[in-house]
Amino acid sequence: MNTSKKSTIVRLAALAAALAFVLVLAECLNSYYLQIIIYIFMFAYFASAWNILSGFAGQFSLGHAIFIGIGAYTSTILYVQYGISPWIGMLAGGLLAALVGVIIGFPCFKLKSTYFTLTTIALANILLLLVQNTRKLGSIKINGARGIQIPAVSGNSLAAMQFVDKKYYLYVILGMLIVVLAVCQWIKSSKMGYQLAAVANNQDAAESLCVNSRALKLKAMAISAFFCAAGGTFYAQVILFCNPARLFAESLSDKLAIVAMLGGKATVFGPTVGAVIVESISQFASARFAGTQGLNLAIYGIMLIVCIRFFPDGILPILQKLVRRLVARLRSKGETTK
Amino acid sequence: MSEILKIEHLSKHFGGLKAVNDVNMTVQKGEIHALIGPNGAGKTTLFNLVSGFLTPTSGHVTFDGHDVTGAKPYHLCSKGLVRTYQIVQPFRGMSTLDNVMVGGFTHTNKVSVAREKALRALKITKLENKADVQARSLNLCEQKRLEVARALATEPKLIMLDEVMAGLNPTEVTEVMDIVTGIKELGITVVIIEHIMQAVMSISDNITVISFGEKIAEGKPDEIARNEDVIAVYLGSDYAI
Repeated sequence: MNTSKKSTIVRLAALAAALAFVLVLAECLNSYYLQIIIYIFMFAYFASAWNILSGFAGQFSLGHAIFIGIGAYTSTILYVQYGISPWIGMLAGGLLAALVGVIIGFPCFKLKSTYFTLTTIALANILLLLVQNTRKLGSIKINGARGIQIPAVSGNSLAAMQFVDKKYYLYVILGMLIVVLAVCQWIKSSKMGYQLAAVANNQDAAESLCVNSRALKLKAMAISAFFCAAGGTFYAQVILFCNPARLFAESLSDKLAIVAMLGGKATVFGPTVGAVIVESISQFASARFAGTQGLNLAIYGIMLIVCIRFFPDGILPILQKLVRRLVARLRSKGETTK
Repeated sequence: MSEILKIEHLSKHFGGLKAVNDVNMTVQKGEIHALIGPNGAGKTTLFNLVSGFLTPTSGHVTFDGHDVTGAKPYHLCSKGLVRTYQIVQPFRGMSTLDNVMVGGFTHTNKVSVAREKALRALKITKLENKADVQARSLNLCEQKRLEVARALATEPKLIMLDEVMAGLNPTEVTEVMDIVTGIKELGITVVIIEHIMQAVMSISDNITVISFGEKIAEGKPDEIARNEDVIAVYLGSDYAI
């Protein structure tokens, strides 16, 4: 018991140190690097939200852009046409996405593994085409493929979630990431986490142990969709633009899966680790090899292949093993010097 | 003694195949009731029907006074009827303790309570020293016991064991037999499918024999051993007395 208490203290201290480091970094960096860090955290956030359904519950989705798009569009429409603050829009979008998630999940959770994945891809593409080809929905302007521009507000406005100084965006996304990680940690260490892991491992066996797999998966879907949509609002506020090709894109859905798997699926901090690695490498590659079209994508692809071939469980478990080995070595050294 | 499980005229047809045909069976509270029969007789199908993984074509299942025909597995489990699998189905990516804890959450939301129940179940199945091992690295005998432990952690009234001894060596079989009689001593009714006759004959109070989906005999072990139909089914009609 004592050692586990000690390890949680160490873990909390490490988190606090990381947080302090980021906050100090936010003060020192120019806006270009700040932007990169904001994207890293945003993808860490998205991948963590994705992980609730696809990692913990094992329902591999390649259509989570549906929820990001819904979140972005809901808050943007509410803000641009009705003057409602994006913060409220974020909540509304989240709830709407959760509802859509449940509606999708209701029939689709009858499908197993790959068939579920294929359905999510199809649904995301259908929604992309629908939005691209809809100008107006009643009195609501959607503008089809042209998208919706969010009118810029001057200065830093918390109510409009728009900031000239980028570090405020960083604070917002950092706060959101901490919330989603706390939710993940809570799920993982509660009854829901055990039951989700059981369903992800073997649904029939879980059912015979009193797990209502359908209700559980719907719950995971709703939570995952809610957080993705809230992140969608943030995304739209960062780029101040809402267009279907970007927000409902298949590549966006894929990226969440890639980031989470590379870092470590079904772990709490895996998606964050994955986002740091994937996003920094892809940003570096696209800046460094800007002259050679497509080279950054090739690097991305190679990274993915290496990762799936050599560490299918993701990078986080390997890091943890290394740290544990290091700690053990230090401890044994300390004992010999005594 | 009162009856805890009653199966009436239960049938399951897969197209033209009558996997289970008009089977009646009664299990008394607190007994070990064995279900035997040659391969393909329909024993596991009967288990699937009772535990809610298949819906019967016709007939009724009554458990503890309630009609549970066609009820979902998780529903049955919360009422106290739980089953294990012939082909072991551990949650591979989880530790042994975590596996059993999934069952432990049946009547509680608290992690600490579930853990306690799980540890108790592991003790009964003699797996307590494997608690932190990943389920995928257990050997077959341990995985079979893990199946039983998971089911026990749900605190059932009736536990259905599907060939828990198959594929085990004689020492392991005696170990599992001890565990099964231990479960009976806890006041839990046991329905067991088994092919190992020494085990079946020595631990069970009553035996039901089915062949080609139909019940051919029911009774005490020594009655079953002398039953002509049973001998004919197992050894061929030439050997019938």
